[in-house]
Amino acid sequence: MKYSRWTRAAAVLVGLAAGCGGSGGTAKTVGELGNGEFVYGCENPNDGACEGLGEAVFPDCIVLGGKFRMDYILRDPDAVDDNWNETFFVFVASANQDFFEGTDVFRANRVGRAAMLARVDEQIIDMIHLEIAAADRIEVRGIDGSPTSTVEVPQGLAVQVDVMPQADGCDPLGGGGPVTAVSSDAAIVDASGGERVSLRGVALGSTTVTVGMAGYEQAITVNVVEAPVTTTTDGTDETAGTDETAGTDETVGTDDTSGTDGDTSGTDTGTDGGSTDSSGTGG
Amino acid sequence: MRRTLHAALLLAGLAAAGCQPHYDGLRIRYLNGFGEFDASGLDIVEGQALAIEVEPISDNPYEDYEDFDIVELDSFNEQIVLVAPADTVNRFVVVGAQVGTSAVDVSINGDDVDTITVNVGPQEVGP
Repeated sequence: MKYSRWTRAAAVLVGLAAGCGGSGGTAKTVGELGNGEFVYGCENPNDGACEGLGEAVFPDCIVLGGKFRMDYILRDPDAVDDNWNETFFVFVASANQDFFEGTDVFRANRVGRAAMLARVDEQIIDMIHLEIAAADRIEVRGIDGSPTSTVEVPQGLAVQVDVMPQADGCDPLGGGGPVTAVSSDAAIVDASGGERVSLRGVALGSTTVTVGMAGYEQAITVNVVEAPVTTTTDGTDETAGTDETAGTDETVGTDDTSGTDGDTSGTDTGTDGGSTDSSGTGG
Repeated sequence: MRRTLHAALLLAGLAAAGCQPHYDGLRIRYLNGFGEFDASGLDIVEGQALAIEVEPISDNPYEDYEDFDIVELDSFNEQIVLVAPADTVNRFVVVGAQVGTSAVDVSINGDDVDTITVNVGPQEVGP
């Protein structure tokens, strides 16, 4: 079968498009018919497939209720009947919308095992079966990324933590989804859910926050501690010395890791001249 | 004279019939996926797909099907079972779309030659 340069170009473009979109990394695996690769893309920050700083990993399973992207990179244009047609378009479709609902971005709706299909018009040129698993527990990840049941929050600052769904036999568990958070004492800790759990230290003390996801709930202890204070004695040199305070900041600054961005920097600027630190370090 | 003519016509008819393959079923090769063919037809599970390669079998000992004989499979009800051509000739992907029973029509070179019953069963989910 012959195919034109345009056909090759179309295949490459489909491949490039497959790498776009989504909020996290992507991972590839060869389809069951071997004509190309399915490309998994994370849609949620608590997707186990995109956990950590390294490459994303194609997930063993998708958590019930989880969302993800799926694209396909065609490697063998001969697999397409009409590959003389310069405009053929490869798309991924769910074999059954009861299990994987959607187009491009899919949501796992039913526990089981279901196929995703790579299609060109009426043709199915490749397929892959994915397991959909209900989470059997959740893990709260501390600001250093490790599982924890206790989180420290400086007073006046906010810390964000991830809640990761887990299921036996699924490592990694893809999907992820929205999390809930309820503080048992909002006068001490203000908690809110969403893509991540945000904990803001209101007043010194300790309370519990119940986080939930995929039907599971777990209580964590949140200790609100005094915010680190940078003591600038007098001169500019001393301020440079507060680089050590910047070290303290990193403790707090793990906020940065968890991405509390605006809140943290805003408070830092007011409290310890974080902006001075930054410029000092940078200079 | 008349008997001779009858015999000639009979021989010509037999010769013409002998020049064509006669359908006697499909040889099915499993490529990947989940599903099983047996004497009663195809069993497949909802949401899952089975890739197969088919080869028509002729019971005419003098004439087999050739590569240029085109096999087509068409679902009677795509809401229950979807059948689509796969990556090459005579390869198909069968998808269990919904629990139920339907059938797939087999045609060769445009002629209907067979019907395969397809049972789409529910997924068994463990406790």
